Amino acid sequence: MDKRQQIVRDLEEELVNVDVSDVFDRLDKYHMEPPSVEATNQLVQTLKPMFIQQKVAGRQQQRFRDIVASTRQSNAVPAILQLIGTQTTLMSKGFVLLTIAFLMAGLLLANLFQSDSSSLLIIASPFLGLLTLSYEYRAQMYMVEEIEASCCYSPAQVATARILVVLSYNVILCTVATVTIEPTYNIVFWNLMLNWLAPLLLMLGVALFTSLKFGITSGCIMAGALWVAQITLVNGESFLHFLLPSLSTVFIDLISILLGIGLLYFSLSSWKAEERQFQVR
Amino acid sequence: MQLQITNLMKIYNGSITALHHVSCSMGTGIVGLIGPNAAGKTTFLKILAGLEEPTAGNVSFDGLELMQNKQFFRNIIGYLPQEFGFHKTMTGEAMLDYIAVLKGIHDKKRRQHLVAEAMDWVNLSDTRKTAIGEYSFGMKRRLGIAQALLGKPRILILDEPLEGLDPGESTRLGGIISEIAGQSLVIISTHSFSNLEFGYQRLLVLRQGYMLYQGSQAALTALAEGLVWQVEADFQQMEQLKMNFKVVGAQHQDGHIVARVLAEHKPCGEAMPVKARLEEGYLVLLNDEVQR
Amino acid sequence: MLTLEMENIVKKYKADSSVLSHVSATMRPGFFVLLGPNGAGKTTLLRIMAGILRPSSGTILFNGQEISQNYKQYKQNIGYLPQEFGFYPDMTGRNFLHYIARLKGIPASLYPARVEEIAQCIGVSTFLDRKIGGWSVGLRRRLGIVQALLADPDVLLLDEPLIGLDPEEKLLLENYFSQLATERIIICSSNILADFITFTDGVLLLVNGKLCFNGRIEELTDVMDGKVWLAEVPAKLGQVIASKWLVSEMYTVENISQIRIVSDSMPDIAGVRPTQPGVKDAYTYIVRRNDSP
Repeated sequence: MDKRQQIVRDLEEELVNVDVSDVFDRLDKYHMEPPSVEATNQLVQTLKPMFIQQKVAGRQQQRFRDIVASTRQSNAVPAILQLIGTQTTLMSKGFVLLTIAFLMAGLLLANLFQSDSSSLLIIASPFLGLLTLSYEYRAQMYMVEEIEASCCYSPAQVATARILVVLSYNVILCTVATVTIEPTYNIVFWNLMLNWLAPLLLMLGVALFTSLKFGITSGCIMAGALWVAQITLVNGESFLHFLLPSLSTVFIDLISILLGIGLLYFSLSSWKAEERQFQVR
Repeated sequence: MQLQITNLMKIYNGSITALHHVSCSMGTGIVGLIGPNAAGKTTFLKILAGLEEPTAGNVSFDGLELMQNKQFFRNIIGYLPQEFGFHKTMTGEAMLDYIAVLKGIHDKKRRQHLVAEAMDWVNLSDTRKTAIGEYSFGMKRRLGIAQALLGKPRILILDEPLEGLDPGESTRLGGIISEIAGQSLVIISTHSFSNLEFGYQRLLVLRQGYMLYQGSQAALTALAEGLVWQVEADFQQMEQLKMNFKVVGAQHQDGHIVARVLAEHKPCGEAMPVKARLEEGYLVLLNDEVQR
Repeated sequence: MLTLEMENIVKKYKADSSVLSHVSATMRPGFFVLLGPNGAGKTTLLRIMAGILRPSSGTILFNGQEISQNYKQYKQNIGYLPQEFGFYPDMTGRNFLHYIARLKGIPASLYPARVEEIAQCIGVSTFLDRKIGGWSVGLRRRLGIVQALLADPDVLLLDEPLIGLDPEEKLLLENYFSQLATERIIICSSNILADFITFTDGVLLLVNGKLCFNGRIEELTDVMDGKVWLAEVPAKLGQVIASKWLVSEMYTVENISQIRIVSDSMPDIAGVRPTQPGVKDAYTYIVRRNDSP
């Protein structure tokens, strides 16, 4: 009876329908033997080659790489954006939390001690630059570099995307901090922005350049030394102040920024993982 | 010399059984331990080496129980773990000396003698003053074996000692091991059947903590005798073969494939019976156990 | 027709010593094994073929085109497994594969399914959502193989793919590679002579940076006809023999040593007789012949 109900439901009919019941009654009068084991086996054997043929035919359908190629064409998301996207996924939560906490703690302390929060930012930004440097070498540290190198982007492109992502993050972080220190967009605000942007870029440029020529440790040491010098000697202002005392702060900052960007560009364009890393074992 | 293992059991955290009632006995010579990953091989070896305690069962050597005579066992066993680390700046000689101290050899002169002897066995004598950081991979392996050989152990336990060595280094090390096996019991766990050309006195197959087999190399190979066939097939026939039988070899030759399959009866008209290899015996054994 | 040609590849790091010297070969679809002693240059050769290392001189041509003209386009057609690799901490298998899939330029609509599909073929799909830090060596190796397969490349270059795998896992992979090899070029380097032997279409033997053999296994053993001898002697004598002649295999059971000697002419040892050559004999012979640079 349940079987009937199910069939009726599938047919979207009513069981009360006389014709339907009639048909069921007639069908019930017929009996069939269940198939024998031999018959089943024979059926399976007959079907198997057809399944195989299907499988083979299925396999001869489009290869995945062709599907990728055609999808890529219709997608039109520029490759460089995809690359930057991948590097964004790499930003570890730990790094983000650490830097936010670090900056917030610093600002809070500065507030508590009534000292100049702006100078804190100037001191902190090169440190962020140093962290960025270590982030740049993550692929090498964790030995993922070789696999990344075998993908479609050159090591230089991957390194550039990575630095752009982390640098953007640093800039956003510092900008937010700046806004909390100086909420109005006046000249003090912009001055402050320059004041931390300059050492950040300069430090990163110098550190990256040194690390490429002389190794990561040297890069870190160089950056660390410059940072310490900046804090102790120049009282928080840009390091170049030391070398060019006659120029105004803004000018110095601009020069630092240009220098930093130049060093970064130069380092990244000559970023070749192979000679550094793939030495004969 | 007889190492007797009876009903060895190891249960971790109350529920994970790594070894189920494993029993066997071994004498002088080379014993091979093979099995799928996570079969309990490393656990088994660690228990024998005295690094882990069994939950139940016992291990005895010429009548002496492992649990009651730990110091004695430590003196007669040499163990090389799968991953063996060392300081890059230490010289080979210094490293062995350090381990000799750990093994309880306090007499300096005796240590020097043993260290020199061990390095000589593995042919590292000319590089004994070189920093380990500069050793090649094969040399590092040999150093690992040297450390296990300190003091001429009666039982040598090696966990995958030949992994990563090239065929030449493998043969050389195999020769050293073969020589030691003349007077000691050497237990080697391995994944590679090629190393089993040593002339294993006995093979142990472990899977999911159960001892599936203990016997000779020949007997394990014989399990597949009459079950291995060579077939020349085209692509479609290959699909059919793969669906019905286990394919253990496939080589492309002029547009068709020469396949090796495991089958109880002739898989198809053109199949030719061929001699079984050791890995095929191993596969048949595992398959039978699954069906059981 | 899919071809990968190496023309006179040379790689030097120092002026006087070459890691690779004048390696030339033309590869067509099939499954090939790259053999050779450690330090022979196998990894260097694979890296150069993968386009991640530049040769000091020589060219690589993919389907007739020099890969140096457009590395990016070439790399879209290859999958590479390094000998050693790590992973970013805290990544699950899936995260890692998704990251690599994106780096390979696979569109976001396609890669999740593809990752799942290949992971299933290779047998790691049940572990995908666990952090890689907890994976065993064999599983990590297989993760590396999955990553190489993601973009469905025409050329697969795998450096020691079978390390850490047990015999059944090896068989699974070998069968899979054999199937792929009907329309792809697959080159695996290996240190274990018995691996791949029933599946390989050809062998490349690299000794001291030189390609000393490139052909089928039967050709390899044919070269050795009449050069392999078997002797059964007391163990002590075995040591003496090993120091005088080139021995490809020796094992001692109950004080009797079975020794396989490789020599152009019959060694004057009592009871020695010629025997059918095997791959190991050929390997030992060729390596010794090309040992000094």
